[in-house]
Amino acid sequence: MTEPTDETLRRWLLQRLPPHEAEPLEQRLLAEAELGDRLRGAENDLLDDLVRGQLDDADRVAATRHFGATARDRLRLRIAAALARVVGRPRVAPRSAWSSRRRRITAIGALAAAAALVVAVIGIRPPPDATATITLMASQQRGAAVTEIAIPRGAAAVKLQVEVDAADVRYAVSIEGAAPFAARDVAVREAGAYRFVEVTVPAAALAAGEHRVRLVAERGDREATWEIRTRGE
Amino acid sequence: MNDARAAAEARGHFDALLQRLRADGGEALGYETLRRRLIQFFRLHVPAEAEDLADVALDRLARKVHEGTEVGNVPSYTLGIARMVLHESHARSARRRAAEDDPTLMPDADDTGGETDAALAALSTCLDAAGGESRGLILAYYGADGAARIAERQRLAAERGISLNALRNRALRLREALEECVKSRMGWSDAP
Repeated sequence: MTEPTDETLRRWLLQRLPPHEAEPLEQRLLAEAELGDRLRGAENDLLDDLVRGQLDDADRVAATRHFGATARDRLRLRIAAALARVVGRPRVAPRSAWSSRRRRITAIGALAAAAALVVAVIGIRPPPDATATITLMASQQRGAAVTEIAIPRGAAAVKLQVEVDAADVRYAVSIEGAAPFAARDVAVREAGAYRFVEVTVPAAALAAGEHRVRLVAERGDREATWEIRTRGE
Repeated sequence: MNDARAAAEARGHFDALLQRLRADGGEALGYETLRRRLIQFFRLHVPAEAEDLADVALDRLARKVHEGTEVGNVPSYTLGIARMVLHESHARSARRRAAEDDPTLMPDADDTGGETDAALAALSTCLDAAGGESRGLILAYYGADGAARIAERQRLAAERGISLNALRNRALRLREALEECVKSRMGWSDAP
């Protein structure tokens, strides 16, 4: 039987293995000690790569979800972060679209360039208090600049989380549209290797239609814009 | 069913399972080993519920065994149950799935820096306590990343005259011991 490569094990951990590859491995996982050991080793390497900023955006999101699921894993993540410091590999800010776009983008015409900042919506949830959460991520991926986002009907407000790369500044977040919204002096939060700012937006500001979400660092010259299209669901 | 009766029934199921596992002879799969593998299986799909689902799967396996169901190959049969338990888990409320996707539940969401600093202090103490050879191996094995990782591990294995698998298992054990040490120093307990 062919032994899975380390890369295969990583894809398995990140839930990227197609069923026809995953199922035989699952069978072996229950029957063989060796594969379990290899998987634990691959998990440690993934954990270390996560805290050292060695993963691309998609893997980082998937790994953060994997290691953020339980208190025990969150503690393991902190231990891995501490280990990274001990071995002299402190966490590195993950590569993001921000890195190549540190110049200020001010002209409306420049929005076409900003379209390269493709938004990845990684979560929309309607928690019990009728506040949905949407997350916008900067990404290297190229594609359609306008992203469709479903807003749960009945949501009174939306928590908007936007990925940022710098933690040492505060940001202004604004939404252009029929019911404009603006927030200033927003602090950065961190979740593992993921840095973001969060604002609570009245649902009316994200009513069905097209909106432009603008993020501006209050110091320095960072600015980014996302084009989104919302719909009720 | 009252609690005492339910507990007695569960004990009966559990005893039946242990008996069945022992019946496989020399290659017997121990209960704890089976549970650990089930947790690994569920961690691949729903990390937040892995331990709970592993226990659900084991309970069902134990009940089947107690009822006299013919369980030929324990790992295969257990995997079938585990997949069913997983399927049921996926079918449960969208709210729970959404909660798993919530970035605010991601690691360090509420860490203002103190927790990682505390982990660093505990880690330093635990590394010192591990002794020179273990400390050196941990730092070397887990220190490299990217393309250097494989080369460094090959070098470490050759230096010690052991296989890569043996090296990996040694590093795994050391890391797990290290994590337990750090958890203990941080006052963290697995107990609910």
